[in-house]
Amino acid sequence: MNDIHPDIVDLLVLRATEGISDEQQAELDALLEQHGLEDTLELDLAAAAAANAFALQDTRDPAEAPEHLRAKLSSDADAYFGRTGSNVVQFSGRPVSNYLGWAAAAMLAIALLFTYDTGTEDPMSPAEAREWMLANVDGTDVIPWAVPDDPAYAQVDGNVVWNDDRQEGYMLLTNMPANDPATSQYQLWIVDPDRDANPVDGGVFDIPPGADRVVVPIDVKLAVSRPVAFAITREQPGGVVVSEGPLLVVASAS
Amino acid sequence: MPQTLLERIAGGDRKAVADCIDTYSGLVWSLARRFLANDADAEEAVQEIFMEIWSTAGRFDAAVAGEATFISMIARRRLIDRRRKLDREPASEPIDEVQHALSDDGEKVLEASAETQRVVDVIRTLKPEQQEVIRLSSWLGMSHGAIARETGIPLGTVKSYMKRGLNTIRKTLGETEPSADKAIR
Repeated sequence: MNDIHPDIVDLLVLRATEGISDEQQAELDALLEQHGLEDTLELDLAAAAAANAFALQDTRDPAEAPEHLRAKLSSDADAYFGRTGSNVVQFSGRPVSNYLGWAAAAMLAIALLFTYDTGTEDPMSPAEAREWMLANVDGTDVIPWAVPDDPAYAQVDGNVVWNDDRQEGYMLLTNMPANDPATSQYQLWIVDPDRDANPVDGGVFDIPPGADRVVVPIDVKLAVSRPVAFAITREQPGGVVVSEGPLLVVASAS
Repeated sequence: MPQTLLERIAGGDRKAVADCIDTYSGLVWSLARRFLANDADAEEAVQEIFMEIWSTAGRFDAAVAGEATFISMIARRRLIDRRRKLDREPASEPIDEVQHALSDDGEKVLEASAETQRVVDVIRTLKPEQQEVIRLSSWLGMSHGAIARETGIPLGTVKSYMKRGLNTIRKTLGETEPSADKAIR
């Protein structure tokens, strides 16, 4: 379910914020049917409620519509409620009434949709944060991984993005062999000769099966200054204090 | 129990139609001017929106969301559809200018219902950049891509902010606690 739910939520969010095409609506309908869910306007209502919240604070406009427009609205209303046949004002577009899903079942459905994504921490993913840092933070270094000696890691590629001022960095790893966290975990080491002869622990991490491209945030335990190298070892679950190697993948700044 | 304007309209109360125009035309007009590039388009859109309000008034359920939220939803959906047909972005405003324009003073296009005030409170708990993303989308009608370009926030983060923000806001709607716009049924 989790594989498909993000698609449904993404379409609902897109519809509520900038609209979707008829083809996307058909795709949404199919996905909802596939998962036994009803369509809902909850996110449209949320976007509308947000608009009202900002309207409350935005005092640049006159509080009322222009008088001539109000007169037109009154005239339209007279025609509409006084009509005997079809609507006197024809308009095109997808009527909201087609979507009015006020049922409690729909509310439950969307609550379920969001269960996969309930985090409240910084929503920026490591990949997004890496991109953002590259684009926006001066002094961010990009250090490519060298070609590993170990044949099992010969296909590994990518780089380390590191910013000394922020003490923040990300590893991009492609084609890194998966590990079984129950038996071993990867551990990053940061070489900073000015601090210590021993490398600094950069955190343990896992590579899930089938993950061709992974961005891993560097979890630096101690402050480092202008590190000269980053190296990855494979250790017991939870990592070690001092590694005996071997160094599987290395990125050297020099 | 007093009825909402929409319930009165659905019940055939013509006075409620005039009251609805008085109460909500300012809000709908403000939205239309932000979503559409010129006043002529905006005026036409406002007329369409009110026609839809008349025709869907009977579907309003105050237990699900407040009346202002329902009306704003109809307006935003109409405006989004209309803009997609016109295939143009709303006239974007310099962000600094818009931020400076925010104020709790002055005449407002919408009076605060209890529900809207709850949403204001919830939005204020979000990160400033997330508040800005939601404001640019919901109130100014900017697309995710335009927001990313305007703010420098990565597109993926804009989408993530929107998704989490709307999910947070939706939880404040349809609550059962007594409020000015919910306790009327």
